[in-house]
Amino acid sequence: MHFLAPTFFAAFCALAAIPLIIYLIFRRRKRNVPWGAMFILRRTLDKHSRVKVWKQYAIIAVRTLAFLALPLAFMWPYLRWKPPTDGSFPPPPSSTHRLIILDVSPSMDAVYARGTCMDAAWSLCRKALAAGVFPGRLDILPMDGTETPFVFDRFPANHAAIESFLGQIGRNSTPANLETALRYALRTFRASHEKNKELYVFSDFGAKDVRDLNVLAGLFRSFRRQGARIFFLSYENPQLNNFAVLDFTAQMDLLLQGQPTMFYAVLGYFGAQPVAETWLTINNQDGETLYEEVLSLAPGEKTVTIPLTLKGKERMLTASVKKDDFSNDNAIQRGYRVSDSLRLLVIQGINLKSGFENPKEWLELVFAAPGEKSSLSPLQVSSESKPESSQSTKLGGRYQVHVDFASAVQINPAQFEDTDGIILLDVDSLSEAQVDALRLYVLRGGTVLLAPGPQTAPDKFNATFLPITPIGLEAPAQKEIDPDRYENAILEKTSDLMLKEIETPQHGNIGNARFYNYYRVDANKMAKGAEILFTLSNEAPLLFYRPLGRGACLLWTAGLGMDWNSMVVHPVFPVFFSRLFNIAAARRKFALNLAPGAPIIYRLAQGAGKETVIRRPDGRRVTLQAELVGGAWFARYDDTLMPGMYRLQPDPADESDFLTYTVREDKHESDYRPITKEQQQALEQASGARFCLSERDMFESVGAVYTGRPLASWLACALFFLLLLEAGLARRWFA
Amino acid sequence: MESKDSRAELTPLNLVEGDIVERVRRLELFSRFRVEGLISGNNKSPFRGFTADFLQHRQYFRGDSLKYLDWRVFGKREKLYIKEYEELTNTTVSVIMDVSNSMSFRGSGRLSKFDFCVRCAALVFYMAFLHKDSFSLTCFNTGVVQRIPAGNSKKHLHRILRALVGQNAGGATDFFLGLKEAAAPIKRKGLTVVFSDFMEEAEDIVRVIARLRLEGSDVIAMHVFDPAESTLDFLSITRFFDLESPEMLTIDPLLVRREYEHEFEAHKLAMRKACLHHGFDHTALSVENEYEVPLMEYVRHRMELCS
Repeated sequence: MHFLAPTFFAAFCALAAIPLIIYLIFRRRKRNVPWGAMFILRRTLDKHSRVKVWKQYAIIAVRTLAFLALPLAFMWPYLRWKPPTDGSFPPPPSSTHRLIILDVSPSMDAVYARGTCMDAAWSLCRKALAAGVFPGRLDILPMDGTETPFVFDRFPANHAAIESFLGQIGRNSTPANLETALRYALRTFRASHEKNKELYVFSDFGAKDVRDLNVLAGLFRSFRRQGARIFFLSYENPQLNNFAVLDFTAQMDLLLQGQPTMFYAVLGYFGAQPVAETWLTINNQDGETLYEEVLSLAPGEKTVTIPLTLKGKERMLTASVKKDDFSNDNAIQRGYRVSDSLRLLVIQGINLKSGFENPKEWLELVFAAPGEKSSLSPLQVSSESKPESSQSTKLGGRYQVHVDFASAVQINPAQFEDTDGIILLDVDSLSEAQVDALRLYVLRGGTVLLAPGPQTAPDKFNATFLPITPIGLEAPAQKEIDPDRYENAILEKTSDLMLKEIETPQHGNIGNARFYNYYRVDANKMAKGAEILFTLSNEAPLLFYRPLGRGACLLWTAGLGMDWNSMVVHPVFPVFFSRLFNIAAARRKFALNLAPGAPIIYRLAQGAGKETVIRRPDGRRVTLQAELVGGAWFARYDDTLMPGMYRLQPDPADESDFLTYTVREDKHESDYRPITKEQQQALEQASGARFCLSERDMFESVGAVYTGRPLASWLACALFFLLLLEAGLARRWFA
Repeated sequence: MESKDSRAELTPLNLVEGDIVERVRRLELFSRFRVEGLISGNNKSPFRGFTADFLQHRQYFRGDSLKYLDWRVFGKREKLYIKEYEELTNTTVSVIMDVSNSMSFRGSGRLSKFDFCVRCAALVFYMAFLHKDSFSLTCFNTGVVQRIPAGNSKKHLHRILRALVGQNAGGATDFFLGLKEAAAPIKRKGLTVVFSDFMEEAEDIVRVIARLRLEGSDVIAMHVFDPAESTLDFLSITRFFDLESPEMLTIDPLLVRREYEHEFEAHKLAMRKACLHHGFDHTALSVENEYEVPLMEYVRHRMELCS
């Protein structure tokens, strides 16, 4: 309760009334004295009465004031603290440890007043430093989870010192982590020797930043137990509109030239309106617009599917939405490799069948160029493939498919080197060296599709492919095929959107294909890490997936020929292989679009220099020394926590030749919608502080806990002088 | 306020008794001026005689008795001078006493102003009786309350003392009428003693008394006051009742104490100045338990002056 609060005022009035009442009572209960010298008394009053009346009132007033001054002096009152009129930060009492938890996350770049939230926060930090008082200390702790405080204790601080100090504090692209910062602040305060402790939190208090309210409330209670005062300054602005491109991906970084590819743009709208309109634009690195669409978005996230056919020159795609109040997340860039060729190796066991009874024939049709052998392929790939020979044709802007057919006994492991994927058709036995070569191929990123057919002996197969197969085979499910009994394929849970596509009608709908027979497996004996991608309608597994190293091994249990299924005559068949080996080809390459912290790995060309250069998003240039691994030279760069574009120059001297890697920003910050009022109240209750929405508000809050100039000494002096005055007026001492 | 105790023990006999009689016996209350007496006494008479006290020489005029010629002067200067001597006679001591109610005020002491005056007046009468002076008593407030004509016998003394004992203070004061009536019978030059607290404008009072002086009487203004009323020694707000009227004043004594004391002293000073200005004596008698002390000191002082 403040000294000048209404309650105190009432008490003040009551106290003031006491001497008046006493005076009035005594005036009524005065002594009666018969007086002989009334003539003198009357004459005295006649001469001095007017002065005396005022003097009497003055004495009553003086006595009243003195009466009040005495208890008030013991109440140790203070003047009300007034905020500085020039808008500067309230100077603290001496020996005050101020700790500012500063939100440096990207969401602080949202528009605020005439600048951004971060501009306002920097300005406030400057003011806090300028207002510092010796002895005292001010720590600025970025709310980025790094627990790296910046300590300033050389007060008073001049302009140069302040700028130098603030210059050390960098921005951070990681999400705000209030809990970590509070824990560190708590430890700092515990070790602090300063008498007063003040904790300031400058943040936009996004709902996603305040994860566990109970934990935060407990921490704030700990601060209060330490006697720390807590002040929140929220830069929230519920009226802001933010359109964000949260993600833009094609599921892989290697795309096939001329191949229609589905891109997935995850857009977000975070604002106050129920529906907001924006537009999505996809540009390539030359600024050429590849796609444009007007969208109406409700608050939240929405995934937009964008079919794009890349022509081969695109290396960098930018997805962007309309400019808004938070421009950091309006665009997102992704780097891609657009390959003009796909090289496959088909290895077949002994199969005496010919024509369409041989699954190789169907694969030839899938990868054949249009007009050459068949027009079954929706890819319109023109390729003349001949068994056991390499054929390739390049048509227009479309990619080429190089298919090498080989028998199991003719496998040369050297062939695996440049192969994007290997299909083993009805192969149930290979030499141990060949299997080892296959395994090494998979470990280095290759993809092997095991497709045992009716001629495969499960026992031999299991014995041969145990090191790579996801699971061992058992006997076929049906001894005799009944055309009226068939199953359909169902995609199991998978995060791979490209595989999901083949369930859709426009991509063939794999669910329409009929499966009459398949190899049974014991699903309980799957290799570690293996999973089922497709099952049949009777829940029998159809396609297994086993990751091995950087690559993967797939097991197709229903054979690729037309013996056990109708898939080969189904439109989904070429699409399925296109998707599958697109993924396989991408897996063999090192990623261009990375998560923060993921390493940049680049395989140097044969005969190239052993030094490469990385240019970081912050402009720094880092020289990398290549390392020899598995017979090849690799450059590796691990410091990729900073989101943005990293340009790798294979030749340090040639700046025109570079490869662009992008490190994804955490779009967590895009949703800067503030915490709810209930959450605010819970924090306020736990911390005993008030959420301030402006600097002025916060200064008032700071001032509310500060006391102004102490009045006790003044009251004591006033009391002394009042007593002197009263004695003088009443002629006690001077009479 | 009159003290009932002091009044109850007061009798004509104990008014003047004990060692006070012996001390008073050595004192004389002279008139500083010539008085008209009937018998010889200690006071200078306006009538010149041929007693032992030489007064002056004057020129001889035809018809003067030759037996008063100073032959020694004639022998030296050959001029005729008559030798005159001063005649001493008794005087009439008139005591005029204020018996208004304000005189009944009693402070912290045993005696009220009136009691004090009664005792002092008794001493004056006794001194007059010892020196064979005639003495009279006149009490007044708004007019003459009691008058006892002059006489010098012991019986007269007893009569006056009884009158003093029987007199009570009361009523208001009107100095103009009261004093005028009281002074009217005093025709012969004598000594007039006025006992009062003189609670009126000094000039107004003295102007009335001055008439006696103009008629040749020596006047002594005995200004009686109580030490308690010379200061407002009260700490809280007090309601002061006037003893002579229903008027009352409610004041905080602390506020006016200094002014009051100043006014009180100023009033005494004004009385003194006025009295001296009109040629008669003024003395302020503070009411004390030893009432004879201030009076006797004054008489002793007066004797020294007259001698």
